[in-house]
Amino acid sequence: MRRRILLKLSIPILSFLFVLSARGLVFGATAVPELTGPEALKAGILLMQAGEWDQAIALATHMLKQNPRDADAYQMLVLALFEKGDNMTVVHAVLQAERSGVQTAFLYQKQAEAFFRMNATEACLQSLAKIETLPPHDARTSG
Amino acid sequence: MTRAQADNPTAPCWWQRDVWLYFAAALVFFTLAFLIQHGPEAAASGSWQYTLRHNDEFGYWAFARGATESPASDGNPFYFEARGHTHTLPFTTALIVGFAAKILHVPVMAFFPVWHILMPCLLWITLFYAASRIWDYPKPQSAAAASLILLSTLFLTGQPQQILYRFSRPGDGLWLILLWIALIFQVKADETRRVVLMAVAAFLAFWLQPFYVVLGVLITGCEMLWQFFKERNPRLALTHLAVLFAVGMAAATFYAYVHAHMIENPWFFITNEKEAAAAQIAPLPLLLYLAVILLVWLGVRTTSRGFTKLDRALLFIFLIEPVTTHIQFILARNFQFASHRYYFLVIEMAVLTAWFAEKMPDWLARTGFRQKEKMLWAGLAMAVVALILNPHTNFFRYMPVPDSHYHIRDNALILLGLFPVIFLAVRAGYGLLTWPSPKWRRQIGWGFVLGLGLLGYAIQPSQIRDQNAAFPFDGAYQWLNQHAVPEEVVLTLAPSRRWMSDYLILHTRQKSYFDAFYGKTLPSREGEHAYRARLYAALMLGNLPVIPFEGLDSLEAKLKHLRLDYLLIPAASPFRKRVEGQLADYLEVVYEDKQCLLWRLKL
Repeated sequence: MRRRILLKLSIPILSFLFVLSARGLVFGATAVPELTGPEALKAGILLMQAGEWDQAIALATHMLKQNPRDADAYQMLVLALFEKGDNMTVVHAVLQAERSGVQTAFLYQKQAEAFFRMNATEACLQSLAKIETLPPHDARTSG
Repeated sequence: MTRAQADNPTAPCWWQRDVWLYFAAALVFFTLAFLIQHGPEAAASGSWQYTLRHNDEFGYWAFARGATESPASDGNPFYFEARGHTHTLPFTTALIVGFAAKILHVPVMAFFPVWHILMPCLLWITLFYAASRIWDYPKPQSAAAASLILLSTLFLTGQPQQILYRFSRPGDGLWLILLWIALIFQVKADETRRVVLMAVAAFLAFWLQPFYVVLGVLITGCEMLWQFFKERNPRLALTHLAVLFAVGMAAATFYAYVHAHMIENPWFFITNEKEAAAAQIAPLPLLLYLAVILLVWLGVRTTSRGFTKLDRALLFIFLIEPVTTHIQFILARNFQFASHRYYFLVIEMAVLTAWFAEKMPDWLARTGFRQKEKMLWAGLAMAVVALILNPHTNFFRYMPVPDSHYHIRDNALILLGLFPVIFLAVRAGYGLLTWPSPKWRRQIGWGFVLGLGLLGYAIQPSQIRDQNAAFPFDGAYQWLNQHAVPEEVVLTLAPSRRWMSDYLILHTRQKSYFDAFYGKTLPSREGEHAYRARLYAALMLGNLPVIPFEGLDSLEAKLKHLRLDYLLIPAASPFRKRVEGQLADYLEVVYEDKQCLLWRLKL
C-alpha cells in the first residue's frame, strides 16, 4: 500500500524536477549538454537571446572547466550575470578572468557598469582605465 | 674677496676658496642629478614639461598654481566652483612660489628645475656648514658625511626617499631646522649673531610648517633646562628662552593668519574633524629610544670623554620619536605627528654619524675592541642583511616590502636598521683615513660618494611613469593657452590618467572638471565631487543621456549643473566614438592633432 502511494507520488515529483532541470533551475550544471568549442558558444548565444541566463551561466561555467582561459566563456558568464543583476558576482568573475590571464574591454566594461550600479564610482573608473591600457585591438568597447 | 683672504684658513667660512669649490661641486652635482632623474621622464612623456615623478609633488605645485590666481585659490585650485578660497593652514612655500610666478609673469612650473637643483644644494650646504663651521669638523670629512647622509635617503623605502626632491616639504624648512639645531649646542650667551640666527631660523621654520619646530622646541627646551639646572648657566638658559620667545611670536602671528582665514575657508572645520584619535602605545619608537639610552651609556662607559655635547644631542634629538608617537595621550589626537617624523630623519642620521665619529677613535684605541672588531663587523652586517631580507623590517628601497615602497614607514624602524649601517660607514671612514696615499684616499672617498649619489638618482623609479608615458595633450594645452578664456573648465577624458597627473592645471590657465585624487581630498561643496565623478563615469560608460541623474532629466541640464566648457580626449581613445555618440549635438572640434582632440561644448 505504502509502496503504491510512493510510486504514484514519484511520477509528478520526477516530472516536475525534469522540467526544472531543463530550465536550469535545479541541477543546472547537469542540464547543460556536453558541448565544446564553437558549438558551445553558439548554444550560449542562443540561450542568452532567449533570456535563459541561468543556463547560459551553467554553460559558461562548463566551458571554463574545459578551458579556464576561454575568453568567450568569461564574456558569456559576465554578460549573463550582469543581465541577472548579480553585480558583485560580475566583479568577482572579471577578477577571476584577470587572474586567469583573460583581459578584454568587454569584461572591464561590464565590470565598470556593475560598479556604477553599485554606486562605486572610483572602482568604475578603475575598470574603465583598464580598457584604455589594453592593446588597441582588445580595447573596443562596443564588442 | 682678495687672494690672501681666499687662501686664509682662519678667514670667515664664506671667503675661503675651498668652500666655494665645494659649493660649486654641489651645484654641478645636483644639476647633473636633476638631468639624470628627470631626463628619462622627459623621454617617456615626450617633453620636459611633463616630468613630475611623484604624486604628492603634483599636489603642491597645484597649490602654487592656485596662488597665482586673483584672488588666490589654492584651497582647491582644481575646480571653478571652488575659486577664491585659500588654505586655512598655509602651504607657505607653495604660496610664495605662486606669488613669485604671478609677479614675474611666468608659469609656476618655471620654478620646477630651480627647486630640484637648488633645494638639495641648499640642504647640502647647510649640513656641510653645520658640520664644518658650527661643529668644527674638518671640511673634507664634513663634505663627505653631508653627501653620504643626504644621498643615502634615496635608497630608503617610504617617505624618506623623497626628501631630496619633493616640492615643497620637508626640503623647504629642513635646512632651517638643521641650522637651528646645530647651533643649539654650540651657542654661547654672548654670541648675539648666532642667537639671532637661531631665532630667525625658528621663526621662519614655524611659518613654513609649524610641525618643523617641534624638534627644535623640544631640544631647545631640554638644553635650556640642562643649562639652568645642570650647568648652572642661567645666561645661556635665557638665550634659549629668547629663541623660544621667537617661536612664540611665530605662533602668535601664524594663529592670527589662521584665524583670519577660518572665515575665508568654510571647510576648515570639516577637514579638521577628519582625523580620528588613536591613543595607543607605539613600541618601536620606545625601543629605539631605549637603544639610544643604552648606546649613550655604552659610549660614556667605554670612552674617556665623559658625558659629551653629542651624548646630550643624541638623547635630546631622538626624544622626538617617543614624544611625537604618543602626543595623542595629551592632545586627544596625533595630528599626523607620528607619520611625519621622517622630516627629521636627516638630522637623526647626522647626529648619529657625529656620535659614532666621536666615539670611534676611543674604541679603536682599545685592544679588546680591535680584537673583536671582525666579529662585530660580521655580526652587524648579518643583522643588516637579516633586516633587509624580511619585508616587514626592510628599510632598503630595492628589496621587497609587504605593500608599496611609497607607503609611510615607521621612522623608528628605519633608524633601527640604519644604526649598524651608520656604525659600519663611520668605521670604514676611519679606515680610509689611515690609507697611506692621500691621493688615493681622496679618489676612493669621492669616487664612492659620487658613484653612490649618481646611482641613487639613476635607479630610482618614477611613481607616475605610466601616467607620463607618451603624454598626449601638449598640443591642446598650447591651443588653450592661446585661445581659451582663463578659468574656463576642461574635462580630460582619460581614465588611466585621472590619478594626480592632471597637468592641465599646471600648464594652462584653465580649471579642471574632475581630478580623481586631489579634487576629492580638497574641500568643495558637499556632493559636488561625487557629481563630477558620476558624470565622468556615465559619459565613459555611454549612458549619460539615458540614466536618471541626480534629479536632472535632460542631458543639457546634467552638463550645465557645474561649469564645463571643453572636453579633451586622446585621439586613440577607445571611448571617443561613445562620447561623440552621446554629445553629438553639443560638440565642436576646436583643436585636433595626432595625439588628442579638443571639443568645445556648445550649451
